[in-house]
Amino acid sequence: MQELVLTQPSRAAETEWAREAASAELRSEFEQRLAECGSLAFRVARGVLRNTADAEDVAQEALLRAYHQFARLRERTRFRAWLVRITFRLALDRARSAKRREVRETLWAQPVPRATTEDLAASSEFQAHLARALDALSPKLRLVLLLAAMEGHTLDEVAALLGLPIGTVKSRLFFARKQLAEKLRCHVKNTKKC
Amino acid sequence: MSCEKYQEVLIDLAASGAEPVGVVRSHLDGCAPCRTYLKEQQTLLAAVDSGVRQTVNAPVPASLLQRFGARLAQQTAPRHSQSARWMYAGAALAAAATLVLFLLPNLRSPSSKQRSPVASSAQHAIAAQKADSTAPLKTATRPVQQPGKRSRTPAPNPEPEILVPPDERIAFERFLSDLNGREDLAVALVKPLHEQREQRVVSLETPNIEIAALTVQPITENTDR
Repeated sequence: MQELVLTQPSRAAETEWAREAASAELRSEFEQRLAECGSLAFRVARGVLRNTADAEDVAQEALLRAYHQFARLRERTRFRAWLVRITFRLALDRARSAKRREVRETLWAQPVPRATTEDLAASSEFQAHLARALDALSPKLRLVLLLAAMEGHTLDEVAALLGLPIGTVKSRLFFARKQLAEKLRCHVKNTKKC
Repeated sequence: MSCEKYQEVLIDLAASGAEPVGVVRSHLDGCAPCRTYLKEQQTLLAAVDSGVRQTVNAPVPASLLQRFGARLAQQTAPRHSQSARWMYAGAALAAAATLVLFLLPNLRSPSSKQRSPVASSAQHAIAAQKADSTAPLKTATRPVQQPGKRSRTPAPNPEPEILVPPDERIAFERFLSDLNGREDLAVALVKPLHEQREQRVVSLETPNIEIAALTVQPITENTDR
Protein backbone atom coordinates (compact mmCIF):
# COMPACT_ATOMS: atom_id res chain seq x y z
CA MET A 1 0.00 0.00 0.00
CA GLN A 2 1.20 3.44 -0.83
CA GLU A 3 2.43 5.66 1.98
CA LEU A 4 0.48 8.88 2.51
CA VAL A 5 1.24 12.04 4.47
CA LEU A 6 -1.13 14.52 6.05
CA THR A 7 -1.25 18.03 4.67
CA GLN A 8 -3.45 21.00 5.48
CA PRO A 9 -4.73 22.76 2.37
CA SER A 10 -5.05 26.21 3.94
CA ARG A 11 -1.65 26.07 5.64
CA ALA A 12 -0.17 24.78 2.41
CA ALA A 13 -1.46 27.82 0.58
CA GLU A 14 0.02 30.11 3.22
CA THR A 15 3.35 28.30 2.95
CA GLU A 16 3.26 28.75 -0.79
CA TRP A 17 2.54 32.47 -0.45
CA ALA A 18 5.37 32.86 2.04
CA ARG A 19 7.68 31.04 -0.33
CA GLU A 20 6.69 33.34 -3.18
CA ALA A 21 7.22 36.42 -1.01
CA ALA A 22 10.70 35.23 -0.04
CA SER A 23 11.47 34.55 -3.68
CA ALA A 24 10.36 38.07 -4.66
CA GLU A 25 12.53 39.59 -1.93
CA LEU A 26 15.51 37.57 -3.08
CA ARG A 27 14.97 38.64 -6.66
CA SER A 28 14.78 42.28 -5.64
CA GLU A 29 18.07 41.99 -3.76
CA PHE A 30 19.67 40.31 -6.75
CA GLU A 31 18.45 42.99 -9.16
CA GLN A 32 20.03 45.68 -6.98
CA ARG A 33 23.43 44.10 -7.55
CA LEU A 34 22.79 43.37 -11.18
CA ALA A 35 23.44 46.84 -12.61
CA GLU A 36 26.91 46.96 -11.11
CA CYS A 37 27.88 43.33 -11.54
CA GLY A 38 26.48 42.84 -15.04
CA SER A 39 29.32 44.85 -16.59
CA LEU A 40 31.87 43.06 -14.40
CA ALA A 41 30.69 39.67 -15.66
CA PHE A 42 30.75 40.89 -19.24
CA ARG A 43 34.29 42.26 -18.96
CA VAL A 44 35.68 39.12 -17.41
CA ALA A 45 34.10 37.07 -20.18
CA ARG A 46 35.29 39.55 -22.83
CA GLY A 47 38.83 39.32 -21.49
CA VAL A 48 38.86 35.56 -21.97
CA LEU A 49 36.86 35.24 -25.17
CA ARG A 50 37.72 38.55 -26.91
CA ASN A 51 34.39 38.45 -28.67
CA THR A 52 31.50 40.68 -27.67
CA ALA A 53 28.68 38.33 -28.67
CA ASP A 54 30.22 35.31 -26.95
CA ALA A 55 31.08 37.40 -23.89
CA GLU A 56 27.50 38.61 -23.64
CA ASP A 57 26.19 35.05 -23.83
CA VAL A 58 28.57 33.87 -21.16
CA ALA A 59 27.84 36.87 -18.93
CA GLN A 60 24.14 36.16 -19.16
CA GLU A 61 24.66 32.50 -18.39
CA ALA A 62 26.81 33.41 -15.40
CA LEU A 63 24.24 35.89 -14.11
CA LEU A 64 21.53 33.30 -14.51
CA ARG A 65 23.50 30.74 -12.54
CA ALA A 66 24.28 33.34 -9.92
CA TYR A 67 20.57 34.14 -9.64
CA HIS A 68 19.58 30.51 -9.19
CA GLN A 69 22.24 29.97 -6.54
CA PHE A 70 21.88 33.37 -4.90
CA ALA A 71 19.81 32.00 -2.03
CA ARG A 72 22.60 29.60 -1.11
CA LEU A 73 25.22 32.34 -0.90
CA ARG A 74 25.97 32.88 2.79
CA GLU A 75 28.06 36.01 2.49
CA ARG A 76 26.25 38.37 0.18
CA THR A 77 29.21 40.78 0.33
CA ARG A 78 31.23 38.19 -1.57
CA PHE A 79 28.79 38.27 -4.47
CA ARG A 80 31.15 40.10 -6.83
CA ALA A 81 33.99 37.65 -6.22
CA TRP A 82 31.60 34.75 -6.60
CA LEU A 83 30.25 36.10 -9.88
CA VAL A 84 33.76 36.70 -11.22
CA ARG A 85 34.69 33.08 -10.57
CA ILE A 86 31.50 31.71 -12.15
CA THR A 87 31.98 33.91 -15.22
CA PHE A 88 35.65 33.09 -15.56
CA ARG A 89 35.03 29.34 -15.42
CA LEU A 90 32.19 29.55 -17.92
CA ALA A 91 34.27 31.69 -20.27
CA LEU A 92 37.18 29.24 -20.07
CA ASP A 93 34.81 26.37 -20.86
CA ARG A 94 33.40 28.25 -23.81
CA ALA A 95 36.88 29.08 -25.11
CA ARG A 96 37.98 25.45 -24.82
CA SER A 97 34.94 24.11 -26.62
CA ALA A 98 35.40 26.71 -29.36
CA LYS A 99 38.98 25.59 -29.75
CA ARG A 100 37.94 22.01 -30.13
CA ARG A 101 35.45 22.94 -32.81
CA GLU A 102 37.73 24.84 -35.07
CA VAL A 103 41.26 24.03 -36.03
CA ARG A 104 43.15 27.25 -35.92
CA GLU A 105 46.26 27.95 -37.88
CA THR A 106 49.38 28.15 -35.73
CA LEU A 107 50.59 31.65 -36.21
CA TRP A 108 53.44 31.04 -33.79
CA ALA A 109 55.08 28.69 -36.24
CA GLN A 110 54.82 31.08 -39.15
CA PRO A 111 57.68 33.49 -39.81
CA VAL A 112 56.50 37.07 -39.40
CA PRO A 113 58.27 40.29 -40.37
CA ARG A 114 59.69 42.14 -37.41
CA ALA A 115 58.52 45.63 -36.57
CA THR A 116 58.79 48.16 -33.77
CA THR A 117 56.71 47.70 -30.63
CA GLU A 118 54.77 50.89 -31.34
CA ASP A 119 53.60 49.55 -34.67
CA LEU A 120 52.89 46.13 -33.24
CA ALA A 121 50.76 47.37 -30.40
CA ALA A 122 48.30 48.89 -32.83
CA SER A 123 48.33 46.10 -35.39
CA SER A 124 45.72 43.40 -35.58
CA GLU A 125 48.51 40.88 -35.96
CA PHE A 126 49.88 41.85 -32.59
CA GLN A 127 46.41 41.50 -31.11
CA ALA A 128 46.16 38.01 -32.57
CA HIS A 129 49.51 37.04 -31.04
CA LEU A 130 48.53 38.61 -27.76
CA ALA A 131 45.28 36.65 -27.78
CA ARG A 132 47.18 33.38 -28.19
CA ALA A 133 49.63 34.36 -25.51
CA LEU A 134 46.73 35.11 -23.16
CA ASP A 135 45.21 31.73 -23.92
CA ALA A 136 48.47 30.06 -22.98
CA LEU A 137 48.52 31.71 -19.55
CA SER A 138 47.44 29.65 -16.57
CA PRO A 139 43.93 30.53 -15.28
CA LYS A 140 45.32 31.94 -12.04
CA LEU A 141 47.63 34.37 -13.81
CA ARG A 142 45.08 35.25 -16.44
CA LEU A 143 42.32 36.15 -13.99
CA VAL A 144 44.61 38.49 -12.05
CA LEU A 145 45.85 40.12 -15.25
CA LEU A 146 42.31 40.68 -16.57
CA LEU A 147 40.96 42.07 -13.31
CA ALA A 148 43.95 44.37 -12.88
CA ALA A 149 43.49 45.68 -16.43
CA MET A 150 39.86 46.61 -15.82
CA GLU A 151 39.12 50.30 -15.47
CA GLY A 152 38.77 51.39 -11.89
CA HIS A 153 40.33 48.27 -10.39
CA THR A 154 43.33 48.84 -8.13
CA LEU A 155 45.54 45.96 -7.04
CA ASP A 156 44.05 46.18 -3.56
CA GLU A 157 40.57 45.73 -5.02
CA VAL A 158 41.73 42.78 -7.09
CA ALA A 159 43.21 41.22 -3.96
CA ALA A 160 39.97 41.79 -2.06
CA LEU A 161 37.92 40.44 -4.94
CA LEU A 162 39.90 37.23 -5.17
CA GLY A 163 40.51 36.89 -1.45
CA LEU A 164 44.29 36.86 -1.96
CA PRO A 165 47.12 38.73 -0.24
CA ILE A 166 48.28 41.80 -2.14
CA GLY A 167 51.74 40.28 -2.49
CA THR A 168 50.30 37.25 -4.29
CA VAL A 169 48.39 39.50 -6.67
CA LYS A 170 51.52 41.52 -7.47
CA SER A 171 53.52 38.36 -7.98
CA ARG A 172 50.95 36.82 -10.31
CA LEU A 173 50.66 40.05 -12.26
CA PHE A 174 54.43 40.20 -12.66
CA PHE A 175 54.69 36.63 -13.96
CA ALA A 176 51.69 37.07 -16.25
CA ARG A 177 53.17 40.18 -17.91
CA LYS A 178 56.59 38.56 -18.14
CA GLN A 179 55.23 35.45 -19.82
CA LEU A 180 53.26 37.53 -22.30
CA ALA A 181 56.30 39.61 -23.10
CA GLU A 182 58.43 36.51 -23.64
CA LYS A 183 55.97 35.10 -26.15
CA LEU A 184 55.62 38.38 -28.02
CA ARG A 185 59.31 39.26 -28.03
CA CYS A 186 59.94 37.39 -31.27
CA HIS A 187 57.93 40.01 -33.12
CA VAL A 188 59.97 42.95 -31.93
CA LYS A 189 62.73 44.40 -34.04
CA ASN A 190 66.36 43.76 -32.94
CA THR A 191 65.41 41.52 -30.04
CA LYS A 192 67.95 38.80 -29.60
CA LYS A 193 65.92 36.42 -27.45
CA CYS A 194 63.20 34.44 -29.20
CA MET B 1 81.04 42.28 -17.93
CA SER B 2 78.89 40.54 -20.54
CA CYS B 3 75.57 42.16 -21.52
CA GLU B 4 73.96 38.70 -21.82
CA LYS B 5 74.12 38.41 -18.05
CA TYR B 6 71.91 41.50 -17.62
CA GLN B 7 69.19 40.59 -20.08
CA GLU B 8 67.09 38.57 -17.64
CA VAL B 9 67.45 41.29 -15.02
CA LEU B 10 66.36 43.93 -17.53
CA ILE B 11 63.29 41.88 -18.47
CA ASP B 12 62.36 41.57 -14.80
CA LEU B 13 62.86 45.30 -14.35
CA ALA B 14 60.57 46.04 -17.25
CA ALA B 15 57.92 43.56 -16.05
CA SER B 16 57.92 44.85 -12.49
CA GLY B 17 58.16 48.52 -13.43
CA ALA B 18 60.93 49.04 -10.89
CA GLU B 19 63.83 51.44 -11.35
CA PRO B 20 67.33 49.96 -11.91
CA VAL B 21 69.65 50.34 -8.93
CA GLY B 22 73.19 49.40 -7.92
CA VAL B 23 75.29 47.38 -10.35
CA VAL B 24 72.56 47.28 -12.97
CA ARG B 25 72.18 51.03 -12.86
CA SER B 26 75.91 51.58 -13.31
CA HIS B 27 76.03 49.05 -16.18
CA LEU B 28 73.15 50.74 -17.95
CA ASP B 29 74.86 54.11 -17.61
CA GLY B 30 77.83 52.80 -19.53
CA CYS B 31 76.10 50.43 -22.00
CA ALA B 32 73.97 51.87 -24.79
CA PRO B 33 72.78 48.48 -26.20
CA CYS B 34 71.46 47.43 -22.79
CA ARG B 35 69.65 50.77 -22.39
CA THR B 36 68.05 50.17 -25.79
CA TYR B 37 67.15 46.62 -24.80
CA LEU B 38 65.49 47.82 -21.58
CA LYS B 39 63.60 50.46 -23.52
CA GLU B 40 62.37 47.79 -25.97
CA GLN B 41 61.15 45.58 -23.15
CA GLN B 42 59.33 48.48 -21.51
CA THR B 43 57.69 49.38 -24.81
CA LEU B 44 56.72 45.77 -25.40
CA LEU B 45 55.14 45.49 -21.95
CA ALA B 46 53.33 48.79 -22.46
CA ALA B 47 51.93 47.36 -25.70
CA VAL B 48 50.88 44.20 -23.87
CA ASP B 49 49.14 46.22 -21.15
CA SER B 50 47.45 48.36 -23.75
CA GLY B 51 46.25 45.30 -25.65
CA VAL B 52 44.89 43.61 -22.52
CA ARG B 53 43.12 46.81 -21.41
CA GLN B 54 41.63 47.19 -24.86
CA THR B 55 40.30 43.62 -24.71
CA VAL B 56 38.87 43.85 -21.21
CA ASN B 57 37.42 47.36 -21.26
CA ALA B 58 35.32 46.95 -24.36
CA PRO B 59 32.01 48.83 -24.08
CA VAL B 60 29.31 46.79 -22.38
CA PRO B 61 26.36 46.20 -24.72
CA ALA B 62 23.29 48.13 -23.64
CA SER B 63 21.15 45.10 -24.33
CA LEU B 64 22.99 42.93 -21.80
CA LEU B 65 20.72 43.57 -18.84
CA GLN B 66 17.57 43.78 -20.94
CA ARG B 67 18.24 40.44 -22.55
CA PHE B 68 19.14 38.96 -19.20
CA GLY B 69 15.90 40.26 -17.70
CA ALA B 70 13.91 38.66 -20.50
CA ARG B 71 15.79 35.39 -20.12
CA LEU B 72 15.25 35.42 -16.39
CA ALA B 73 11.53 36.04 -16.79
CA GLN B 74 11.36 33.18 -19.25
CA GLN B 75 13.14 30.77 -16.93
CA THR B 76 11.34 31.77 -13.73
CA ALA B 77 7.86 31.20 -15.10
CA PRO B 78 7.14 27.68 -13.87
CA ARG B 79 3.41 27.94 -14.46
CA HIS B 80 3.91 27.90 -18.20
CA SER B 81 6.53 25.19 -18.34
CA GLN B 82 5.74 21.72 -19.54
CA SER B 83 7.07 20.03 -16.41
CA ALA B 84 4.92 22.23 -14.21
CA ARG B 85 1.85 21.28 -16.21
CA TRP B 86 2.60 17.62 -15.63
CA MET B 87 3.17 18.34 -11.97
CA TYR B 88 -0.17 20.10 -11.69
CA ALA B 89 -1.90 17.31 -13.57
CA GLY B 90 -0.48 14.81 -11.10
CA ALA B 91 -1.54 16.98 -8.20
CA ALA B 92 -5.04 17.32 -9.63
CA LEU B 93 -5.29 13.55 -9.93
CA ALA B 94 -4.09 13.15 -6.36
CA ALA B 95 -6.62 15.71 -5.17
CA ALA B 96 -9.42 14.00 -7.06
CA ALA B 97 -8.41 10.61 -5.68
CA THR B 98 -8.27 12.03 -2.17
CA LEU B 99 -11.71 13.59 -2.47
CA VAL B 100 -13.10 10.30 -3.73
CA LEU B 101 -11.67 8.55 -0.69
CA PHE B 102 -13.33 10.98 1.66
CA LEU B 103 -16.62 11.37 -0.16
CA LEU B 104 -17.18 7.68 -0.88
CA PRO B 105 -18.83 6.82 2.47
CA ASN B 106 -21.32 9.66 2.01
CA LEU B 107 -22.10 8.67 -1.53
CA ARG B 108 -22.89 5.14 -0.46
CA SER B 109 -25.27 6.20 2.32
CA PRO B 110 -26.56 9.65 1.49
CA SER B 111 -29.33 9.47 4.13
CA SER B 112 -27.00 8.62 6.92
CA LYS B 113 -26.67 11.37 9.46
CA GLN B 114 -23.42 10.16 10.88
CA ARG B 115 -20.81 11.54 8.66
CA SER B 116 -17.14 11.82 9.18
CA PRO B 117 -16.13 15.33 10.20
CA VAL B 118 -13.52 15.57 7.48
CA ALA B 119 -15.92 14.53 4.73
CA SER B 120 -18.63 16.82 5.97
CA SER B 121 -16.25 19.71 6.17
CA ALA B 122 -15.10 19.01 2.62
CA GLN B 123 -18.69 18.97 1.39
CA HIS B 124 -19.40 22.04 3.40
CA ALA B 125 -16.48 23.70 1.69
CA ILE B 126 -17.87 22.91 -1.73
CA ALA B 127 -21.31 24.12 -0.74
CA ALA B 128 -19.85 27.31 0.61
CA GLN B 129 -17.90 27.80 -2.58
CA LYS B 130 -21.07 27.44 -4.61
CA ALA B 131 -22.92 29.87 -2.40
CA ASP B 132 -20.27 32.51 -2.28
CA SER B 133 -17.98 32.42 -5.24
CA THR B 134 -15.98 35.42 -4.06
CA ALA B 135 -14.78 33.81 -0.81
CA PRO B 136 -11.47 31.98 -1.01
CA LEU B 137 -11.46 28.23 -0.56
CA LYS B 138 -9.46 28.25 2.64
CA THR B 139 -11.97 30.33 4.55
CA ALA B 140 -14.77 28.02 3.52
CA THR B 141 -13.05 24.92 4.81
CA ARG B 142 -13.26 26.04 8.43
CA PRO B 143 -15.87 23.97 10.30
CA VAL B 144 -18.79 25.86 11.76
CA GLN B 145 -18.78 25.97 15.54
CA GLN B 146 -21.87 26.87 17.46
CA PRO B 147 -21.18 29.44 20.15
CA GLY B 148 -21.84 28.47 23.75
CA LYS B 149 -21.83 24.76 23.08
CA ARG B 150 -19.06 22.64 24.48
CA SER B 151 -18.66 18.99 23.82
CA ARG B 152 -16.61 16.37 25.57
CA THR B 153 -15.15 15.09 22.40
CA PRO B 154 -11.74 16.52 21.63
CA ALA B 155 -11.88 19.65 19.58
CA PRO B 156 -11.34 18.80 15.94
CA ASN B 157 -8.43 20.31 14.08
CA PRO B 158 -9.63 23.72 12.88
CA GLU B 159 -8.00 23.06 9.53
CA PRO B 160 -8.98 20.00 7.50
CA GLU B 161 -6.21 17.59 6.71
CA ILE B 162 -5.83 15.54 3.57
CA LEU B 163 -3.74 12.48 2.91
CA VAL B 164 -1.45 12.72 -0.12
CA PRO B 165 1.54 10.68 -1.29
CA PRO B 166 4.77 12.16 0.16
CA ASP B 167 6.38 12.84 -3.22
CA GLU B 168 3.31 14.75 -4.38
CA ARG B 169 2.88 16.95 -1.31
CA ILE B 170 4.63 20.06 -2.68
CA ALA B 171 2.86 19.80 -6.01
CA PHE B 172 -0.42 19.39 -4.17
CA GLU B 173 0.26 22.50 -2.09
CA ARG B 174 0.96 24.52 -5.21
CA PHE B 175 -2.14 23.16 -6.83
CA LEU B 176 -4.21 24.22 -3.84
CA SER B 177 -2.73 27.70 -3.79
CA ASP B 178 -3.76 28.06 -7.41
CA LEU B 179 -7.16 26.60 -6.64
CA ASN B 180 -7.94 29.34 -4.12
CA GLY B 181 -8.64 31.84 -6.82
CA ARG B 182 -10.59 29.41 -9.00
CA GLU B 183 -13.72 28.21 -7.29
CA ASP B 184 -15.22 27.00 -10.56
CA LEU B 185 -12.33 24.58 -10.96
CA ALA B 186 -12.69 23.38 -7.37
CA VAL B 187 -16.35 22.62 -7.91
CA ALA B 188 -15.73 21.06 -11.30
CA LEU B 189 -13.20 18.70 -9.78
CA VAL B 190 -15.81 17.22 -7.46
CA LYS B 191 -18.93 17.54 -9.58
CA PRO B 192 -18.29 14.79 -12.10
CA LEU B 193 -17.63 12.32 -9.29
CA HIS B 194 -20.89 13.24 -7.62
CA GLU B 195 -22.86 12.86 -10.81
CA GLN B 196 -21.31 9.57 -11.64
CA ARG B 197 -22.25 7.87 -8.40
CA GLU B 198 -25.34 6.16 -9.90
CA GLN B 199 -23.38 5.05 -12.89
CA ARG B 200 -20.90 3.25 -10.74
CA VAL B 201 -23.01 0.08 -10.35
CA VAL B 202 -23.66 -1.19 -13.83
CA SER B 203 -24.63 -4.76 -14.50
CA LEU B 204 -21.99 -6.57 -16.42
CA GLU B 205 -23.28 -7.91 -19.68
CA THR B 206 -21.44 -10.89 -21.08
CA PRO B 207 -22.22 -12.64 -24.36
CA ASN B 208 -23.65 -16.14 -24.15
CA ILE B 209 -21.05 -18.80 -24.26
CA GLU B 210 -21.74 -21.74 -26.46
CA ILE B 211 -20.16 -25.00 -25.45
CA ALA B 212 -19.77 -27.50 -28.22
CA ALA B 213 -20.81 -31.08 -27.53
CA LEU B 214 -17.93 -33.16 -26.35
CA THR B 215 -17.52 -36.56 -27.92
CA VAL B 216 -15.43 -39.15 -26.11
CA GLN B 217 -13.71 -41.74 -28.19
CA PRO B 218 -11.68 -44.70 -26.90
CA ILE B 219 -8.01 -44.76 -27.76
CA THR B 220 -7.25 -47.37 -30.32
CA GLU B 221 -4.65 -49.84 -29.09
CA ASN B 222 -1.52 -50.49 -31.06
CA THR B 223 -1.88 -53.96 -32.54
CA ASP B 224 1.74 -54.21 -33.67
CA ARG B 225 2.90 -54.77 -30.10
